[in-house]
Amino acid sequence: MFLSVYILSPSSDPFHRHFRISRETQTALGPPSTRLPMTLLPAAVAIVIVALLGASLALAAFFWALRTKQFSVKQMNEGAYVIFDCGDEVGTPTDQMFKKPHPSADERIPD
Amino acid sequence: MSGFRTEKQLSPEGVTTAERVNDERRRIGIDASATSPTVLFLASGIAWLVVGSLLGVIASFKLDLPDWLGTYAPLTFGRVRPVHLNTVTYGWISLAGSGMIVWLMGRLCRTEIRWPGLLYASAVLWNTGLLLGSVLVVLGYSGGMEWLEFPLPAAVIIALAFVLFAASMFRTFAARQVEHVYVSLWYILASMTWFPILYVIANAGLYQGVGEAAMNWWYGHNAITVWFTPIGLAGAYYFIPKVIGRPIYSYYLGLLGFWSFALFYNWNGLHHLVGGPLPTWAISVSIVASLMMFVPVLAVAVNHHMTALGHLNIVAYSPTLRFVVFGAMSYTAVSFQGSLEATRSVQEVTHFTHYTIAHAHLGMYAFVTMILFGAIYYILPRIAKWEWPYPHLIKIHFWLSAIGIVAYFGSLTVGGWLQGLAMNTAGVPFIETVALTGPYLWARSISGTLMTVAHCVFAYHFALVIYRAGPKRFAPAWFRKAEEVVAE
Repeated sequence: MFLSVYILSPSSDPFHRHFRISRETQTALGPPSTRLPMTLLPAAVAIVIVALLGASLALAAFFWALRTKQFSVKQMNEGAYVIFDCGDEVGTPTDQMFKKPHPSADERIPD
Repeated sequence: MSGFRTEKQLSPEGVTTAERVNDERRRIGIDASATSPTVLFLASGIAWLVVGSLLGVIASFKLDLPDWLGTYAPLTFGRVRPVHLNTVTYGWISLAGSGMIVWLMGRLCRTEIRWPGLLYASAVLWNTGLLLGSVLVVLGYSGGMEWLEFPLPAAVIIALAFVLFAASMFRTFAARQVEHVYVSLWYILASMTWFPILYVIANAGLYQGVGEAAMNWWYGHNAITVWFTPIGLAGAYYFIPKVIGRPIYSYYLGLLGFWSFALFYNWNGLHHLVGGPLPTWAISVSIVASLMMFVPVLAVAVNHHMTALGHLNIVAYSPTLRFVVFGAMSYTAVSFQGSLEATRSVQEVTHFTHYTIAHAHLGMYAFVTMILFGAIYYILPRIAKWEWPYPHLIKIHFWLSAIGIVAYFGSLTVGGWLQGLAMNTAGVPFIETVALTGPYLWARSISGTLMTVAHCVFAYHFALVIYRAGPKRFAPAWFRKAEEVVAE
């Protein structure tokens, strides 16, 4: 979105607007009024379309989240627990592959 | 769709044996569906990590010894350095991050991975694109713009690979068995949507002149925004609470952090062009957005640090937690530094200096890469059904990486700042500003070598697990244990 705003702005070709360039360079580049649309318009149109698409997707995701009550008090309070498996003891580190390690393994962590 | 496991349900008294057995069976099935694609992505990512690190070391030593390998065009700095950047970002972080995402999608959606064929095709295409792009850049066919050096054919292949990957992930999400979308999933789904759009737009070849420079840094910064950072944050939001065994400190803050991240981060790119020939308003907007990043960063920082607080003793034991906490702390540091670095007063000194390189490595290595290391230490034993055989190799990996990145960041930050001050002093000849960075560049090369050795150790250890080599362990590969349990 930001890139499209910048490219569409009237001052987006500041080099030619604010800096003096030699007559030979001007001749080689052509008049600014014909050069600017030719170089920037296709980019601007494409980017505006994609920016609108991106913004629409973000809004759609947000409203979908509202509609499915992702931000409801219940989900906000309990959603943090979805990473835990059935029977995981809260407060017990889960960084172990085996639920029942070998009896001689000392894997307890001090409090 | 299932509901939630509250604290009561998580206690042994709240769950019947039958429920626990069913849950475990389902989890084993989910992990099995993710195993092959995850291993494929992780293995190829680690291969690119080793290749990219070696290229980085070569590029770094060429700054200390300018004549070294200077007569052979493919190994000149202008070719080696871009290939280093592209292989570690699109190779290591992207592929290893994709492997982590595949595994997390299964776990967080509590369903088997859908359309795995697309994931295999994606991995093959992605590696093909990387190889083709790297070879073309080495041969001199670079795109010439930072982060976009790969020529169009390679970029098209990588874009297609990403679309296939995203299709499989969205299909898996659509089949999820959990009602709630966990905060890690928000970051993952957002990156699946944003990055293909960004990558295609940037490679479309629609720009020239000043517009091209604007696009270049809009892309360069947003690649970090919409792809690399979400990978790191998704991992941190999952593994910190999971390993500790406690839910995230404030779930409200987690979602606030995500949506403010989505709102502010994508406007940041043009602060790279402070002082450049762009309209002042455009750069000012970018600077303001960079400062607004304090909101999501604070939300994430408070959440991660408060979750870990009180459980830091586990960092001494758990490889996963040690790497991930290191990465989470680095995220806070790199984000605050980035916001301040975006301001004009700081840019006056740091622009065009090694300070920027230090900042980039703090983000891409100390933050994202360290979290990926931690994630792999957690994921791999579960999908390979084989524990990491040598905990001391993990220790070597951690300390070489940690010391390497701290020395790298410290030396280039100090050297870059001094370089900037010297360049701003009118009476100092330019060659003196180059000469004064000499010791700091040597420090960079040495610390880069430490990190490369760490990566080789990690790759070797990874291969041992994949091939089920080394001693079979029946207990987690923690840093500290009373005794090792080894079976012949």
